[in-house]
Amino acid sequence: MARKPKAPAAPAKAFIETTVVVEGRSEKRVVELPSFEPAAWTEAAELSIVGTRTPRVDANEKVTGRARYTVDIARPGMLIAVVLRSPVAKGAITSFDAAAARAVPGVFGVLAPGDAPAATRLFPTKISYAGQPVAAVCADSFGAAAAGARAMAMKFEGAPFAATFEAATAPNAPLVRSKGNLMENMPIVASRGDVEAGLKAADVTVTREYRTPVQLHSALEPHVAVAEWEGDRVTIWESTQGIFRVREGVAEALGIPQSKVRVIKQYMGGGFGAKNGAAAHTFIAALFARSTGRPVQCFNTRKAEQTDAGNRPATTQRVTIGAKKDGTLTLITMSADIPLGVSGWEGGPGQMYHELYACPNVRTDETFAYVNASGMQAFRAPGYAEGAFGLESAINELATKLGMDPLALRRKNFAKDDPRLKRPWSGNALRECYDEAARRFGWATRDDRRATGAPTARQREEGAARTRRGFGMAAQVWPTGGGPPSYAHVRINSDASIDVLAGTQDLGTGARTVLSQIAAEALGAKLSDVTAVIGDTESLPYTGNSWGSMTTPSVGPAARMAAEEARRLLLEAAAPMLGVEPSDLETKDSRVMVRDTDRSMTFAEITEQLGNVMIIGRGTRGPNPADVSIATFGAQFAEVEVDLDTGIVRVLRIVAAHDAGRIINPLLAESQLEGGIIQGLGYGMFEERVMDPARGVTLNPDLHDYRIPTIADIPTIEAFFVGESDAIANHTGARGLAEPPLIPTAPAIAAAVADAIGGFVTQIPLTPWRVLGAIDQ
Amino acid sequence: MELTVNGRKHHISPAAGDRLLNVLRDELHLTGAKYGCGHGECGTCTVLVNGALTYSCITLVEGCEGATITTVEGLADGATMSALQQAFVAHDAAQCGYCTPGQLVAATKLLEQNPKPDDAAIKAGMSGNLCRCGTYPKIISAIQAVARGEFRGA
Amino acid sequence: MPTQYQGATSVEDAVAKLSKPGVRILGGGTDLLVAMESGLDPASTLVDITKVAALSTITELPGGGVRLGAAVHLDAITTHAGILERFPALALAASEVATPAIRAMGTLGGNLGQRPRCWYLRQRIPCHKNGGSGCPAIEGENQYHAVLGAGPCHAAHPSDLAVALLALDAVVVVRGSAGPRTLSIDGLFANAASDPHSEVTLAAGEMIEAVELPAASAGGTQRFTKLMQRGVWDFALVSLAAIKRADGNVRMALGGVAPTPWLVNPSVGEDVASGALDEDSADALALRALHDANPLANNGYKVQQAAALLKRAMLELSRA
Repeated sequence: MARKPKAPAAPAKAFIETTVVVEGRSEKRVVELPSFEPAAWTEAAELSIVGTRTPRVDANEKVTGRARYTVDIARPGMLIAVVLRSPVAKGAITSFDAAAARAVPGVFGVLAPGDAPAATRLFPTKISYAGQPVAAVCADSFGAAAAGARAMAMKFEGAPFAATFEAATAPNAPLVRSKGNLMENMPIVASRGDVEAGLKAADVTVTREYRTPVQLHSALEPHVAVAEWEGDRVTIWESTQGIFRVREGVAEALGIPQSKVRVIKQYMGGGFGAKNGAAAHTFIAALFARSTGRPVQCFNTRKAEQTDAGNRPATTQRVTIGAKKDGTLTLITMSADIPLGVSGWEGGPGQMYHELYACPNVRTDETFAYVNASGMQAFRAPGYAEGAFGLESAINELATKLGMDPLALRRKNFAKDDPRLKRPWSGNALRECYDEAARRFGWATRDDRRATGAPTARQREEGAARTRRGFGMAAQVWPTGGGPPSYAHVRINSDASIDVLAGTQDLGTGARTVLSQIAAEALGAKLSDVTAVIGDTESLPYTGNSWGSMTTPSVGPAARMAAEEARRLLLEAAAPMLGVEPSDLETKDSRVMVRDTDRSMTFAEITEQLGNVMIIGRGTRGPNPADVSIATFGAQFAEVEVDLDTGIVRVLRIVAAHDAGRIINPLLAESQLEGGIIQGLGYGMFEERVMDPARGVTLNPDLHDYRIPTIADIPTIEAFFVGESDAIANHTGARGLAEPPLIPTAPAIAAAVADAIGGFVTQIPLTPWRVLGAIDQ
Repeated sequence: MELTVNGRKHHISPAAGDRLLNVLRDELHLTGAKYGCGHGECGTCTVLVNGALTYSCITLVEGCEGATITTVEGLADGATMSALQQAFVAHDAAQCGYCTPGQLVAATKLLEQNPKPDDAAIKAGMSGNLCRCGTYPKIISAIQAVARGEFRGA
Repeated sequence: MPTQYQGATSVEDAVAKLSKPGVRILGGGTDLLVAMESGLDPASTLVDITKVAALSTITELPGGGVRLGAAVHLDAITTHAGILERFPALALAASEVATPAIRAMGTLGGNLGQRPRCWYLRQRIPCHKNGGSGCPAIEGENQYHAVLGAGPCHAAHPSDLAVALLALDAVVVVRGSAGPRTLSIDGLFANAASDPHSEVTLAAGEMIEAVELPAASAGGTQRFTKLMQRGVWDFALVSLAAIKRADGNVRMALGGVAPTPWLVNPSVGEDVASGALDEDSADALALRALHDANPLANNGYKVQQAAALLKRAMLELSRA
């Protein structure tokens, strides 16, 4: 049958402005419209690979030790760089001896104050926080580099510093930054309605000050980079959440074109927001590699990682909320102080106060101050985790004051549209989250369990403990629709193996698996025939950072479009081989079938005929829909046991329901929920960077005195999804879900503790001394 | 000095103060065990030395003369993964996977000592291996599945 | 200068090697190597005693006591039948130490000789123990510090075993070049005033050879409780070993509250031994036991916790 000539689809090259939400905050972007948008995978779509609990495609590498992380990259002749850091919080370097360091056997290079290009911002002579990099030494072994660092004999002179919000905003405070200690245009005020009127209308109010700690990301793989030059091109292996952003950062700092920088990241040991770009260790590795002509590795020791690799900043939140007797919220106000460190951005707690409830009168103000401490970085749900503790604790206390079930109070004030932006949600199953989590938790019958709460084995050991059960809950919203730009290619090789190519990265979230599933589904291929090729800026199309729970809803649609395009081309190629029109064909299990017949060809039979004529599909993430808000929701319920005499809290159970649209892989998504809950448990129960007030130095820069949850600390966790495919958000129906589960855990636990002790708790983590203090009130 | 690692004999000449972790990684190119803290606080470097659970980052290699050492690379028998490795895959007990080699070594030791551990025994036995991604529930379910005999491995 | 490693072949060999300057005994190294790396310990040579069979053995003594060599691993203490049966407080204390790997690596002697976890000390902030003077925790972050018997150093003693051994009235065998000597367990620990660089009263060239559990402490009612922030892998906020011996005597020791393991005033034990207590009398006794507590700004909760542990244990022992 003669093939009908067909004009190639005219690529619709239109650029439009769209809104993308990054880390929960809106950004305007000009984006390219895709040449076509596949029909959305609605809830009714019949999918066979997407939605299955398939194991991680790279799990075998991880369990056998074969997965190569950046720390495992060993290049021939590689040197090791050691970074010297300031022991004082503010002041100056008074002396050092670079010559002595260079004279140490094995030392290949020294970067002393003033030696690094200005664009790297490395090694200023003035110190503005303890732990700040001040120099670096590279040598042929770690020991030699460390000996060189000691030989530098750097001396420092301390100066008065301000390491807390209070100190930085006091009259005549030492200057943290030359332009002042407050960010420009403080405070940031956001307001709707009339809070004065709301206060007058309230029958019941709660006014309370809440405090949250500095939380450290504590990824088990520290920040690490390996740099190697070949002529004028540098290759950087980096443990990063954003290979392209590292490329931009290195190119800019070294003053070279981006095309001369290649960034590779295959496996990484966690990021959680702290690894979003090139940093001191990257520049140090690149500079030493250039000057020595040898590959250079630079990594953070654990102490450096816990001192100067980002953090979730502390907050103080002064909250007033009020409601009518029937629970209708009449006002929410919140005023926050946030000490950022020497640098950071405005990821404060305020925005969530405007989004979770349909309260007509809301006002927040946030004041961000620079302090003499290492700068903040985004940390899984930045601002929202902090804000949730204040807002949800206040809501829970309000419920108590109203004599109302906190679940009923939340239902009463459910925001069926986005109350901040006054537009519909693309989808919102928060009420279903409330229902289903409450049902599985046994919320309605919790008082029965209170009575029968038997002591745990541990408490029996401890004798006649006075223990009490407590039950609490909290809810969550997190704006996360993903968005452009994101590109992906799908390539069908001559043996019918299939590559999905995307310049994204898998933090352990499962991006490789999810992209493989989406591409296999769209192409009608076997999952085992598909390989996701990611993590290399040189050969892969651009995608953005893996932050803001964005990777699946950003790269997923691009991968799907690329696969649909590849499928279309494959059918075009197969049609004449099978003597039919492409429209007569369908695909499944890597086989092209003539509809309603038993005639078919495998992909491999088709590609064998094509030889090296490549089937390549290109995909682009289109703009987000206008005039809707895209967010993930959830509710969590906690059961705790409190020893009233010792203040020790054990979390017994967490039930969590979240709505993130379509779930591409429920097994991996469940892992994300559990992991977020456990990090949220750490935030609520244990984690707190402690700084010495007199010196401004971190006292617990390790993994013992900075306590992250152990396996013995985890409760029974029942975490699951409700809701359905969000066909409005994007054509895969998926929203982001990595960050949301962390948000409500700490306030849910705090509410359960408050319930157990019959008091209230206003500060996390819930250490024994804080719990005893709350009991004594 | 001589070490037997994963059944293979190696002659090494450690420098004074060398830690077992560095010798395994840098000289024997067994990079499964990882640096996480260097102070025996996180468990990413866990290996077995003469059958004993060991943080290799705070183990002087000179004290291991003649020792038999098992790392994550030694858990599989050729292409056949151990039951625990298979269960970790099936139960998604590795997210980023960085702590996984240490977790698997610890779990292997746990089941050797107690083939049918209850939840409390699993939590006690695995308590020296931190996981920042929070895969703990999946680690527990993977170990339970092996204890129930659901996986047959090397 | 990298640290030199030497293996000891016998107790005598270890003591001979220890006689040179800069030499330290190496057990599991779980604390010593970390302390050395952070500059806290200037040892230049380590003598590994874990291969010496005589030091790695638990021996039943005639009459019902038990002798534990200094290099006995902590996990061996948790599984030894004689200890489990007759000295369960010690087995419990050992099982609460750190993590399975630390218990497999760490030794009895090392656990007794470990340095405090004080974060000022560990971060090398000048203090009495750290090349300076005074205690920065007094005006600083002192939530984990001592509430009893503190000064000039306020670090809490870190050992769990020491607390159980103190309640069990153990005897320590110390070996120097002049041969062995014995001292009571409370004699092993000293406040910081004596030697800023060590918490044990060993003379130069001496090492712990063994610890002996006396037959008189065997059996009876034995409790060990450790309060931690996390479920595991924390040093004690407060711990308590409480023993009602077969002869009716009561001996109790607290951990986490003082720069040394803290023996509760024997008069309190006498009152516990004298008969059944009620809630009020137990409260009063706990108050008496903690009468000298002098908490800093942030560690008053430890007094509450210690009182709670004491009360619970005393009520139980008085009825045993």
